[in-house]
Amino acid sequence: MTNNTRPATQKGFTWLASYPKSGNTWFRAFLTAYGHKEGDVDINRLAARHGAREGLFERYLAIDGSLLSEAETFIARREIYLLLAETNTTTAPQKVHDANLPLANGKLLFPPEATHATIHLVRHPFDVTVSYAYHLGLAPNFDKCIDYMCNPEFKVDGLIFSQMPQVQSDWSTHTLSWMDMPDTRRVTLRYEDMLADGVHAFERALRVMYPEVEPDRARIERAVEATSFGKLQAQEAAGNFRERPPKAEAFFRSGKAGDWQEHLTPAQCARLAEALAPAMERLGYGPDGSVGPWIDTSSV
Amino acid sequence: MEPILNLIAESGQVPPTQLEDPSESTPFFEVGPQGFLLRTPSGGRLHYAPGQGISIATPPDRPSDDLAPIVRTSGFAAAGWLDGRVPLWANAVRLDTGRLVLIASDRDDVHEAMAAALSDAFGFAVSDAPVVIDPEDPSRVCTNGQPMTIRRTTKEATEPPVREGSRRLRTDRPAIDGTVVHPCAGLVCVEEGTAAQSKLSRVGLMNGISEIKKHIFMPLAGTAIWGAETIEAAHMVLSSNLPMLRYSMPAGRKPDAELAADLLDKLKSLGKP
Repeated sequence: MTNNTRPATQKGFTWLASYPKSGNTWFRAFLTAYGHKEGDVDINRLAARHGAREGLFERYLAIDGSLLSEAETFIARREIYLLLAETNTTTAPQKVHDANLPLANGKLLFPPEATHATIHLVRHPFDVTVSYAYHLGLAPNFDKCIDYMCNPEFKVDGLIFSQMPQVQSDWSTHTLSWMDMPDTRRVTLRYEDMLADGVHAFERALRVMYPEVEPDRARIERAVEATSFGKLQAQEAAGNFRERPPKAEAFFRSGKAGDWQEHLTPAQCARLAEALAPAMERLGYGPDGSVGPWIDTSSV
Repeated sequence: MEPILNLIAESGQVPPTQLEDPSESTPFFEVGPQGFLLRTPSGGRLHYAPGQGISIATPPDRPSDDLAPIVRTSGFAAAGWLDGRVPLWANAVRLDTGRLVLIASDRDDVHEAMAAALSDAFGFAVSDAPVVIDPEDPSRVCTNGQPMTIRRTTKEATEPPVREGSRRLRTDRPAIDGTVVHPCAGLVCVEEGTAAQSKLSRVGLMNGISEIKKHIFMPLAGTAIWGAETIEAAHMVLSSNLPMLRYSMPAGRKPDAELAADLLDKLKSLGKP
């Protein structure tokens, strides 16, 4: 794999920020394919590792990460993001599922000072609910997953993959925390728009990630082709995907927009629409499950 | 060679707030040839200096024994580095021959589960991580003398945390004495395999260097104390002199009593470990 797109002097992290099951892994697969001269992608060697993995922090903590209390992990993460952003000029993009909310000291977990760019990926929360419920092994109990996605205090503990705890919050708070992050280069990409025109969506992202480099259209097209949902799904079926949670039957399960119609009841949709209205309205996501026109006027 | 545990007695002194001229510093530690100062994210301090032992300051809003698990891991490792030895993030299992086998993995839950399975199935004493090894004579290993702890991997775990609010849990398996230096038979790197059958294979020099690097604890502190060239040399010497094996578990399997027995059989088939 080559990385021919990042200027050597660039400082700060590029966050690939999303609620789970919103296209983050697909985007990482795209980045991997785009960075490979042949356009190849191995789903077990994806670009952009998890930004909450303990191994990222322990070196600078000199403490076993699992010895920290939850409150300490958030303090440590913010400090080390700042440290690395200042000293490390080769930092790769980091996948993150946290909401970017203020910590007890009032400072954002992902500080603008440590941020080069943010690629913010969103998906209609009805579809997120279904996909996330399968991911967590909850399906067909979608109500449990709706509880999570509507809970401002929702956290994941990262126990399985040796990650620090993460505050995901409810879907709307999570989404707005990234859309309203101050002083940062950002693009918000809707999953549905990525499905409709992946080349355009990924090109927008590359312009935000690498503002000094003109995206290579042919490489984008090749990477989009190499990372079609069917191809990623086939790779998982043929072997394994090490990021698949133990309770999920498959990581790449459906991938389509509108899958919620096969699973959610009207009452479940109404509950989601009411609780998550602020961000849904901002993004053109209708309470009837529709995906309306939307222009990301606040993106760079 | 003195057991590291003997070096980290608590002095009762007040730890400094900073070191003079540290060769490496992060928001959480400072280190140089004269000593090591750690700051926990909640404001505790731990200081170690050769000849002075450990001093700690516990934050007022944390329990009085808050730093004890950090003394036994980070303090223990710092003392090892400053005494010319290398801390490895591995569990040790004391076989019935009296020699230790170090168990490491890319994943804490895997090496901890295998060490626990060996202990549970055969009654072996087992150490907590880290252990400290002498790079010039890797048959000499020290442990921190504590019962092994395990990373919490499920919400349903019943073991108590070793530190308030932490995700590392206590167990009561028999510990390996930390007040003596133990002979060591080698290091086994446990991995999740892709084949139907388990396999035990020798690790060559270059792959051995890679493995050693992966399992070194507090590498940034060690590099600051020793210098990059010396650390690189230590990787090479350890890889050359420490017998290293890779145990690939059958696809889809987790460590259990059956795999512990399988590993032990395979080790014995290579000679008396």
